[in-house]
Amino acid sequence: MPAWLAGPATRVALGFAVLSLLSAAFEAPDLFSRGGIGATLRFAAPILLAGLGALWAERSGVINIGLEGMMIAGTWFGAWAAWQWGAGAGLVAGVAAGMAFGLAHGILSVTFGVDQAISGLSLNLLAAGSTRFLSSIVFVGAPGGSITTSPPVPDFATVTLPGIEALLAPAEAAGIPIVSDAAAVGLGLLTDVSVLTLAAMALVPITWWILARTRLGLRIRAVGERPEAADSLGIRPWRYRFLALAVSGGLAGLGGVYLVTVASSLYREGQTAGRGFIGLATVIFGNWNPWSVTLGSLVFGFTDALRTRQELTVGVLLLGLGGLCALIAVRRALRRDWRGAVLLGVPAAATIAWFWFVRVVPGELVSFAPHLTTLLVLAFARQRLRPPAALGVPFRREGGT
Amino acid sequence: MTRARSAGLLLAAPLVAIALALAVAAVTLAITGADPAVVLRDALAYGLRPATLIAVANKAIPYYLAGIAAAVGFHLRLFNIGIDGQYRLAAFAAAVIGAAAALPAPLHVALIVAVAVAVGWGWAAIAGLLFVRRGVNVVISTIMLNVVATGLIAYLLSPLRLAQQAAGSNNVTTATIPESGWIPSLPVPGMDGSSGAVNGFVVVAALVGVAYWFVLHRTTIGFEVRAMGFSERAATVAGIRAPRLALLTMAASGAVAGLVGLPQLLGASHRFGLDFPAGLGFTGLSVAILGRNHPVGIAIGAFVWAFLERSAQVLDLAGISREVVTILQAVIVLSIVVAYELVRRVRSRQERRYVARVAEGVGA
Amino acid sequence: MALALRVKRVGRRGPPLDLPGYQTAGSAGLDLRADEACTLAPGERRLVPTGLALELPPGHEGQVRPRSGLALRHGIAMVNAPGTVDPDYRGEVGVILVNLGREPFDVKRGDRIAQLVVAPVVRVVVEEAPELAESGRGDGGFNDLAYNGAKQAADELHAELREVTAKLDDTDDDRAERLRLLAGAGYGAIIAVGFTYAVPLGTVAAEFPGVRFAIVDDGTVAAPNVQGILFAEHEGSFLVGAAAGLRTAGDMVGFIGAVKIPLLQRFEAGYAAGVKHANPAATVEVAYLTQPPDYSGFGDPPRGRESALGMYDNGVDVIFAAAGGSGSGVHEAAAKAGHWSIGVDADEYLLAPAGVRDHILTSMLKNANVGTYAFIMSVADGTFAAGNRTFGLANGGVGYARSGGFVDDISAQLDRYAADIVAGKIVVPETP
Repeated sequence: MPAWLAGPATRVALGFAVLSLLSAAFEAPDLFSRGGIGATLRFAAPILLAGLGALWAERSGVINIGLEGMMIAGTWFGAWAAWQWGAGAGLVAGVAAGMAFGLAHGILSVTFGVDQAISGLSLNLLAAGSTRFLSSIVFVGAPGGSITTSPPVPDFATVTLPGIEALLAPAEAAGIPIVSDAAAVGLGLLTDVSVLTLAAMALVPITWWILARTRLGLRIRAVGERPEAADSLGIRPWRYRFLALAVSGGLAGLGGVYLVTVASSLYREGQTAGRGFIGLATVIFGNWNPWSVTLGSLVFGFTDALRTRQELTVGVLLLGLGGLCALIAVRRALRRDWRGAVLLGVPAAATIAWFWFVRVVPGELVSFAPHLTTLLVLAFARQRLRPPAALGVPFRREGGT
Repeated sequence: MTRARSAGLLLAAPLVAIALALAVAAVTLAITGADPAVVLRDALAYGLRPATLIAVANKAIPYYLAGIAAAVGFHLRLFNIGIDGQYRLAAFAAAVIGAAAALPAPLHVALIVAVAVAVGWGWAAIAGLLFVRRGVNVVISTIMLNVVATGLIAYLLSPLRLAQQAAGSNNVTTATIPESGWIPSLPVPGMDGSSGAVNGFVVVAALVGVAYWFVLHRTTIGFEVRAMGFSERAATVAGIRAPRLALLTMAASGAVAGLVGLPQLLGASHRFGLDFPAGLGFTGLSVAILGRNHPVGIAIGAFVWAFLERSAQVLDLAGISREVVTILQAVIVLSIVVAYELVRRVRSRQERRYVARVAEGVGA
Repeated sequence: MALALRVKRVGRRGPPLDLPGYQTAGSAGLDLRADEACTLAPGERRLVPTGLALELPPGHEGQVRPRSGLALRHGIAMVNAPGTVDPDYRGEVGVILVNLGREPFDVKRGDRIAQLVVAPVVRVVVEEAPELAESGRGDGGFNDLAYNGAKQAADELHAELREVTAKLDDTDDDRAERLRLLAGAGYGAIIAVGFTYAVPLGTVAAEFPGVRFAIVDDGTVAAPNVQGILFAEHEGSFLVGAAAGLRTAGDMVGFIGAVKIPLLQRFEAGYAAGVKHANPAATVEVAYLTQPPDYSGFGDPPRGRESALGMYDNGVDVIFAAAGGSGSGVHEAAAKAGHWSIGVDADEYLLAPAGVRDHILTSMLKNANVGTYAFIMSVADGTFAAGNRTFGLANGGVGYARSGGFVDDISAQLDRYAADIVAGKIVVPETP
């Protein structure tokens, strides 16, 4: 059997095919639909940006729990500037605000040596309080504004790949199980996509290239793995950590700008809703590598989009996952890995049975589908997690002050 | 370095922090056009009334318990963000079982407490297991588990399942716990009425604080935790097994977290409804940071935090944005940690100089 | 026993003038005298000092009114009649006179130039609860309406209105304390918005028997000084449900609620009943954005938008957005998908931007302002009655909006349903 056939691509294709067939069988066309994929991108993009932000920070050895606060800063300042001067100004302001918070995190954790998690948590608190305070001064009294909301904010343009509609639309409309779904996914990814989404996607290869292929990236990674060694070579850890944190904050701020311009059309208190932390999750999920971070954001965005658009689709997804797990359990049994087979097989069988009889997952339980999915993937993904060696340890020179 | 000097420096940190926070508050108030001196005077006048102080104390009890729960985890750098989900799930389960049981008073209360502790312990243990067996960062897993807990409670807190809805009310609650499951409040001499009594759970909270200190400083396992927190490498060399400790610590943190909702449940509302306070977990983290993981420090931190929140009510009445208090809280936390770090550096520099001087003296 | 009006002579412009007094035993107003001589040319206005600073009895204001004799004989009026002297004003009281006559008018020191009527002040406060505060103020929604009603009443009564907001991690004790502070500060009418205030209100109302309280959206507090302001949301939702049932082309309609709480489930129940009544073949898709205690569903427009898009993509063509601040996302989605949406609480057609409003079929009007206005007026004119008061179709508490003209062709039918509900011929369920 050729190597590529047994690789991850085949597994993805197989999974796609199974889910597609299930969605046809149980009349849940929204599982793979143009709108659903579009929504996936919109839900995933802010998480991706937060995840990239977390990646930059963690690769340099700093845990950035303050991502949420940086994102909040991005939403507020992005909305305010966009309201005053347009979407472009919002972009600049949001990123700058995020960077400022990133640098503050750096000052606290690198210069002052404060525990990184504590500094992050405090910055989150500060961001939440000050944005409400600023809103009370700036937004109250403006048309449509209040202490929790900004006036409407302009959006960025969306783009569509020319010709793709004509190419794929007939296939999408045809109603053939796997083919139509594939066409729908293609259309969802290539039509009516916000320029900011494209920018976020573009930042993934850029991040990879900088971290993996440039000298700057090498130094940042060195600081994250062996700061003492780097320091002895003249690579000052604090300088590169500051840089990484500034980038980290800027990316989170960009995520915030995305929330107020693309995902919605105004600033709303609390709209980050924990996305900063979920971005952090994708980094661990992604084993500190930008491509997997992207995958993690997409998984989260996909489940979130599904359950928001049509709850019954989640049931089908569950069934599909249960089925796939059952298949894997069978394969393990064939390899005489009894323990592995039972561990995976029993919950899989239970899930299938439950869905068969219940059919619809109650709304309250659907609400945590994305989070549970992330948790399960983190729990069962068979990988060796390789965090940067000096992650979370403040760098202190021996013998000096 | 003399003891007195050392103690003085230790005190300097919180004082510096408070001074800095007040300065920031004054600036923010001035921006809004309010007179900082007047506001401070009004807030203090309101805050120092006996009725307010008692209310602050009552508010501080759950903050204290949350702080201890957080501190337990902090020793091993396990950030239990999941305190929120743990205490709500625990309170919900305890409310449901407590309402269904019929036991004589002390046993009934004990049952409710036991259920809450067990549920909190279990829910946190999930995160602990994921960390130990699969290396999943505790921050992530506890955040996810919080959301799952919310969903579970929402599913079960429905008239179709474990809850009920009174006619004409828009609140859904569990059945009310019979009086045998109530904790009496402790009246304060000289005060009367409902605002003159302290929640009886304060006794349990104090015991938890004592137990926390005792376990940490007088038992083997506490020693192991402290050793591991101080230097993982040294502790491992000494034979202390990290995974076992991490699991125990997470579970213990959850067990304490389970108690956080009980002052409200046993001493005030006696049922769990849509209006049960949420968000106490994050307060616990802040309070533990303020108190430097020390049981007395956390008590002070909890009291200060509650005091700030309560005084904010007066700000509202005066037409001032009460977010000033939130900013104040954040600034206090930040300045405390910075101040302690600065103090630590000063101390370490002084110690080094002292040692150098001694060495010189010996060599000469 | 008469109330004391304490005065202090200020100004020192000459020998002390007589203190204000009532001309006759039955006079309503006290005389105010000019402390300074001046001449008013025709058309000229001037602030004439009275040489007095006042300390009005607590809870009372001073109304400065012109003297009818001066007005009739010389055309002397007050520019700002009646002038208001606030209970806490301690400066010198002055009268702004204007000469509307054709002759110059001389004012001598000591002349009586105006009269002062002392009247009780009704002070009012509106309290917001956090789970509804997520929909915020300023977006025209429910909290705004409640506030507007209070404001209207307060303006008419020349009363002071104060608004206070709560926090999500408040305990009953915190809420009780807030109420206590307000009652203790002299507010005579206090409105609490939200069921979370029910228990604390029960405690505090007993402590302040002289203060009148109202609680919106809760009917469990029984006290002689508490009124429950309830709305028959299900009745109004029935009507917009019927509108949706009649308007849907594909017999699929949707309902998006902010948070799954019993209050919003009442909207859902009435809506579904209305849809089925008008169009038995139609199906109703129901979604709630978040679960309690996560109340972010009241303020998450992106999620509202995606939820709506999901429904529209799957065949729904009318969605009722009972989602507070998230509703703006639903309306945006309607505009994008080219379908209908229905607003809630306020007439959202009037609030939406141009491209979006043409997709808003109608709105379920929950006239919170009617409830709060009625309560405050009843306190002011002494007709306050404790107990629950439900505002429904019969008394203008709920209804449907006609802005945009999109329901003109079916409004006759909708009004017939409304009449049937009021008459009891149709019973609208309150739970789904």
